[in-house]
Amino acid sequence: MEEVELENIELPHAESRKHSLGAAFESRLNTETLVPAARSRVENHGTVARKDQNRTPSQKVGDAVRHAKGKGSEDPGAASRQGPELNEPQKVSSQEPQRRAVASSMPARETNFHPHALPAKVRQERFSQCLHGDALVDVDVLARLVWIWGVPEDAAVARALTWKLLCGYLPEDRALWESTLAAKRTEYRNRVRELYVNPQEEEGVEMARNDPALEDDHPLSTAANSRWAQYFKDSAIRETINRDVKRTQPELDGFRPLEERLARILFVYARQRPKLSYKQGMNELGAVMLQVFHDGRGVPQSASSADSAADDAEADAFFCLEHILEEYARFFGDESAIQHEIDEFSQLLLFRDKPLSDHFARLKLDARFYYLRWLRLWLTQDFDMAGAVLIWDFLLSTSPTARVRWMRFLGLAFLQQKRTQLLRSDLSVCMKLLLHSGSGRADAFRLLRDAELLQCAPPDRSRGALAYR
Amino acid sequence: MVLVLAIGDLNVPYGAAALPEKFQRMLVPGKIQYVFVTGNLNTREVEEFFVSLGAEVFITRGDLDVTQEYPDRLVVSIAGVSLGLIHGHQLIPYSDSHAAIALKRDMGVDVLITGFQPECKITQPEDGGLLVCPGSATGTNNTYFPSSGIPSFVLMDLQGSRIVTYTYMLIHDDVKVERIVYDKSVRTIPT
Repeated sequence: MEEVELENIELPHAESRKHSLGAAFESRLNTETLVPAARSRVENHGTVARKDQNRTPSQKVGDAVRHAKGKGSEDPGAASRQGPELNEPQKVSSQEPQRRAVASSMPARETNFHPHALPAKVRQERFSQCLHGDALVDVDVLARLVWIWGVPEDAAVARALTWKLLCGYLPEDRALWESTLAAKRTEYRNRVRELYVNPQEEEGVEMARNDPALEDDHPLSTAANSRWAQYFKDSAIRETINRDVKRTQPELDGFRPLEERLARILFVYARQRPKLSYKQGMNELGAVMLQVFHDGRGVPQSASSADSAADDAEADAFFCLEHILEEYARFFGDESAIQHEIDEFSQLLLFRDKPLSDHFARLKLDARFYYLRWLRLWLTQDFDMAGAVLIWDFLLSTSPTARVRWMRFLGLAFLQQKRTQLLRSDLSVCMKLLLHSGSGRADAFRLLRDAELLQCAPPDRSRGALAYR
Repeated sequence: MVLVLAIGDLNVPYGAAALPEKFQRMLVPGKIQYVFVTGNLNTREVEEFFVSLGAEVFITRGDLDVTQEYPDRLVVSIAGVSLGLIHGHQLIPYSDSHAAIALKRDMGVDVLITGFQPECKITQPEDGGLLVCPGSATGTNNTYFPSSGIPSFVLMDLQGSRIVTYTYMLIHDDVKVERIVYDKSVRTIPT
């Protein structure tokens, strides 16, 4: 009990944010000094913890304070290294206990590394090894490598492959990939053929079913099993879908040829779940998935294989969209689930940043106006494709149940980034700030880092959630 | 796939109170693309009802219509099929089919839609095409014929050279649908 409290003590280092690894990434500090020091922190982290067990609570507090002031402590690792430029690793280590809380929220493996401790090259190597090298892809390791830093390899093929593995679409055993893919793709094609109902008999195309009910079928029929009635219902759904698809990703020119495919994916999904059907917002999720898989389909050998590769990408995108929406579909239809999530987020905001929460309450700016969109769309509309893809890397690398929890912290981080502006704005300006910021990849990375800090940072409601700023 | 509704002789409100309820429930917006009303609505409200179906409406003047604005006859080309519309009280002798065939040749259409007759009839003359009479949608009589008492209308599905016709009749409060497929072996005479 006491150890937990120790770890959550707010250490008086107002500028420690400056010294975090994220800031180092941004300001491109000398990584040669920083990285070995960071690695030594990870190695020594175990020893620091073991040492602490024998000390009384007051001694531990004293240690922590001394640690923060950089005066050195009985820690053998810190004592051997002195100097101003190496004060940063010590500050980093004071955050290690907190980071341990984060690491434990990820799947535990015996390969117990933390992605922040790895330099970029090492991470890339391990990623390539994991993805392309082994016979059995360790998805947990893959998830850990992709967490926050994104897919290391810049190739679109790598990202598409990673996402398929993280969604559980591809099995871990590399030998089974071909058969699984072939089976799934045929399944999708059959479903498309089944669902595109044409109530008219066409010359040359046999009606597979000689249903006696069909004899009485007519266009104005309102009967439940009428193909005509189904056809008109489908037309209505398809019209809604097409309207939304035409407005999806307007800035992305590369998406326009994919509109028809996205419409098909969404239609098949809607018909499979007649209760939920298609809801606005699913088009954005599907668009990102489809775009990434389409880009990652590799170099086509010929015109016909290009078509089939695109069809395969469409089938894969469908199943992965289905996987995401398994957990997220309730936020499109179930009012109680939506309200629960909004309440949770409002609670988090109130608990972590009371001034901002009060400001919003005064403006009558309910979390529903902005948070619901972030939650449903995975922040897709608030970042351009490059940024959105980084956020998706992060969210896909967490488990499906954890995703919803992380979304709250992403939302909180988003608010924290614009905190000063929000606090002095009225309702209309606030809404404008919270909508469609169109930020890029760097902003997305900053957002993820902030969310991680928030997840383990202690609460200090009076100064905003990111008290280090 | 184009759905064309042929309907007429409702005689609302002078002959009947309203379209039968079962027909009203079937005629909902969004399904039909074209409506051909042979005439004898009698008033504007009926025209507004057809317009509310969201389709393109063509109306010709019947002998009991209040508005004088509707044309006498119409020729419209839809999906490669030319359809002619006329109320039918202009055809003398009234019940003679040859007069209708002659008019069809005169107008140069593939399908001629006429009203004025109380029964719902679809015939195919020897030189191709179709003669469609949707009967009375409310089962009322007209100035000459006694009423058959059977409300009816016709729905056509134009598929290129095939025309699938659905005849809807309200017999003893039951909607009976008959589906017949015709091939329009076309020989239209240029006007």
